[in-house]
Amino acid sequence: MARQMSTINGYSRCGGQLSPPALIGIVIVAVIILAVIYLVVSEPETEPVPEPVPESERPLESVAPAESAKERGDTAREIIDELRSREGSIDYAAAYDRAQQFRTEARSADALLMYFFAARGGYAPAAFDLAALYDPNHHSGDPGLAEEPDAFQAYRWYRAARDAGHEAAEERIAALRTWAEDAAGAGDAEAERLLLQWENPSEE
Amino acid sequence: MSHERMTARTAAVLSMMAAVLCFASAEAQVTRPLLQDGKAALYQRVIAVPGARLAEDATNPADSRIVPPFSTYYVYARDTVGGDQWLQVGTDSNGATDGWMPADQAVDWKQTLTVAFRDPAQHDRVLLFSERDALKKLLDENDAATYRRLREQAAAGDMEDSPVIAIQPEHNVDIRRDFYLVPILSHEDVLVSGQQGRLLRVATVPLQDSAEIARTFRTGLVFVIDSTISMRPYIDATRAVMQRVYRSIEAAELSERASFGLVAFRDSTDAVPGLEYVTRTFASLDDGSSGEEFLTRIEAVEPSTVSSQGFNEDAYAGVEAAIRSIDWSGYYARYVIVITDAGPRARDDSLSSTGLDAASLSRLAADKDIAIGVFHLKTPAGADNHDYAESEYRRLSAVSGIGEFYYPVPTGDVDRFETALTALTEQLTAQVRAAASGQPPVQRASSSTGDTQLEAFQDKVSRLGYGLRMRYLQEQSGEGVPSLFNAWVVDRDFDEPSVRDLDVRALLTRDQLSDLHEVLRQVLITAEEGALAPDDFLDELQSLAATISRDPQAARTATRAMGGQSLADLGYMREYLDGLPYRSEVMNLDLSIWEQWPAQRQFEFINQLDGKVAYYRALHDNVDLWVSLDGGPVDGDSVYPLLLEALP
Repeated sequence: MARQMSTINGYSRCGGQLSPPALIGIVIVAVIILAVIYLVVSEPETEPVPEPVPESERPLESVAPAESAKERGDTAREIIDELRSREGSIDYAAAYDRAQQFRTEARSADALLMYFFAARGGYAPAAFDLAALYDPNHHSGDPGLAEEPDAFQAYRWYRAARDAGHEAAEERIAALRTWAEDAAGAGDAEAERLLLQWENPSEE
Repeated sequence: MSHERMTARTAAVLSMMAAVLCFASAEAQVTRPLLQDGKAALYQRVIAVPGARLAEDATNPADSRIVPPFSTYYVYARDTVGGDQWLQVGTDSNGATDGWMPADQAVDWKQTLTVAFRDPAQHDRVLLFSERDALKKLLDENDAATYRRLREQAAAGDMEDSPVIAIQPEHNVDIRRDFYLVPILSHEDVLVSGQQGRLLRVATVPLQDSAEIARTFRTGLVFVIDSTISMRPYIDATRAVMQRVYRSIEAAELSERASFGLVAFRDSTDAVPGLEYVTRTFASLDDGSSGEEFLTRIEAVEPSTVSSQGFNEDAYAGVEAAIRSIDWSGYYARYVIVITDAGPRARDDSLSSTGLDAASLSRLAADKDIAIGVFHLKTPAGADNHDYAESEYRRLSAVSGIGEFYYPVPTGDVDRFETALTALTEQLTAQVRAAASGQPPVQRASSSTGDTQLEAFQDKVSRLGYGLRMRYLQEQSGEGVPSLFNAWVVDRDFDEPSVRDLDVRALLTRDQLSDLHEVLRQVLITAEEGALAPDDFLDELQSLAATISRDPQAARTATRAMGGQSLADLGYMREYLDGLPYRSEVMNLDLSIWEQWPAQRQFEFINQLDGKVAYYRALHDNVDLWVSLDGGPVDGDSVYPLLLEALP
């Protein structure tokens, strides 16, 4: 009875009075327990089960800032601002000339902005060139300048060029349609959507 | 400013204000469906379960009618009568209500999402599980082997003791051509072999095994064609149409599901022996099960070389031969199409070989579940005969509850005849294809051909086809109506998880698409200007969001609450996109440092927007692509199953 009490008292004092064999036994048990815990805990680590991320909880996509004014197209924007501030109608032909010049100088961002500005203003050569940049049949892939073909954009700007009187645009539109039919036939969903443009009587 | 000009301007402003007030007041009088909780523009939608009943009055449920399963409705009111919940429903959102339906006979369908299966020739067929947990367990354990084994069993028709209750039909059905509805009631994100996928709970009626359908839901169509002397151009046109029909049926691998026959008729050979025959069967449905055989046999159809007596021919003899002599067993959908430029010999006509009138023949046909259609070629030569012939053929072609399958061809115009016959055969082929898919039938509005009589004819064919499919489903279920049940599917396959086996599509109404187009178009204009002069872009976007929002307060609080600067944060189209299993790249792009972006990247953003705006416009204007779930003409409530990825 007294031994039992002593043992109980010994435990209650955090093992200060335990014999060496008992201590060794406890250490062994502890090591085993730790090993089991380690195995239990480490098992998922060897085969992690990732959780699907709900669509609504995914972080916003972001775009890294441009590394230079050249990449931003600051020069083109200054020119556009200046052309707009002049009295009278905007000189889109001059904007187109600058676009050509920027392209020759490999100033892609400036060139793209100037092409777009002139094409949006209804200047046929600019619309035609802008379309050609995106045209999968004529895509050059200039760095920084419509790096990927975009048939929707090609179609949009060829139509603008045609409507502004560019004679070669109609032929390009027909070729683009052939491309879209082939691509849609091969299962390209974008091309299939583009084909709807031709099926829409109000568009043609 | 002169007093006169001021007065004129004031009057103009006042009249504009009056017009606006009148419009606003007219708008206020239109009753709209109930809005979904927390939404400012999205209405409550429900789907009727099989056997659902619609009553004029919730207090008198005895006076009710069964509605087709999967009918979709807007909810206009909710009420409790005698302890039961009732819904007042209507098929459109413009205030016209159809009646009251017990709430437990309708399923909420908030996001109007539906499944579109991909071509099983290029993907493994999708399995439908009866219990979510059984499928989820396979996913959690990444147990591809079991999934594969279950698919093999299901494909072999062995689904006893299997958690699989159905398998995607064997043949491809393009939802954009042959619309079907497998509504998605809820969805959750899962991983399929480490790839993000979607686990979907869908509502469906039993999908029929395609081999079973091939055996039982077959379509038979027998042409009963007048082969007298004047008919050569129409016989040639029918041959040309049939060549195309067989090509399209064979291309779609539907040869076993449809067959055609041809019976030619002339007139009394007692009166004019040179006519050679009163009726002759050139091809039975057995013969017509092979396109080659059928086309060879109808090559032999030649118009007579002698004239018959009078303008009437013994058309009823041809119809009777088609009904009685053709073996229709094995054909579930049965059609007889009469093509003639003459009136029929009436019962009391001494030259009638049948002694039957239109009503008797119509009954005879109905007894055998055969629908009769008539193409009446109103050639100028028969002008005096047209009224009589029309009244006879209208009676002959009357189908109870639907109307007369009578199509007159003015002046006997051969091109118009060929166009109409082509439209009809294409429609029937589409019905065959839809039936072969095993999907629940949906009524489709006819396409706009500019020929209102043809459209009316096709509407009836559509209604008839729908009725046949419903009856078929009801018979197959053996309980009067097919039961609606929940099933669980996953959109990817374990063996090739990077490719989807099915698409989730949002059923957008034409009005909603128009809304999306208009909002996105304005964003596009703002973004294009934002590329040329980036400094004011975000302010402009924010002002625009406040202008176009139906709920400006929500737009303002959204920005504050989210603290973000994407189109979604600014409140654009949130109503449409909230809760969808879709994360829009263009809507969730952080625009806060727009002015520092490379120009090239700004244009990529703009081009994405522009591509969608152009697509929406084209889609909206292509009326043929839209489906009216109530079977009516295409309007603002008609729907198109838009791929989630095609949303903004």
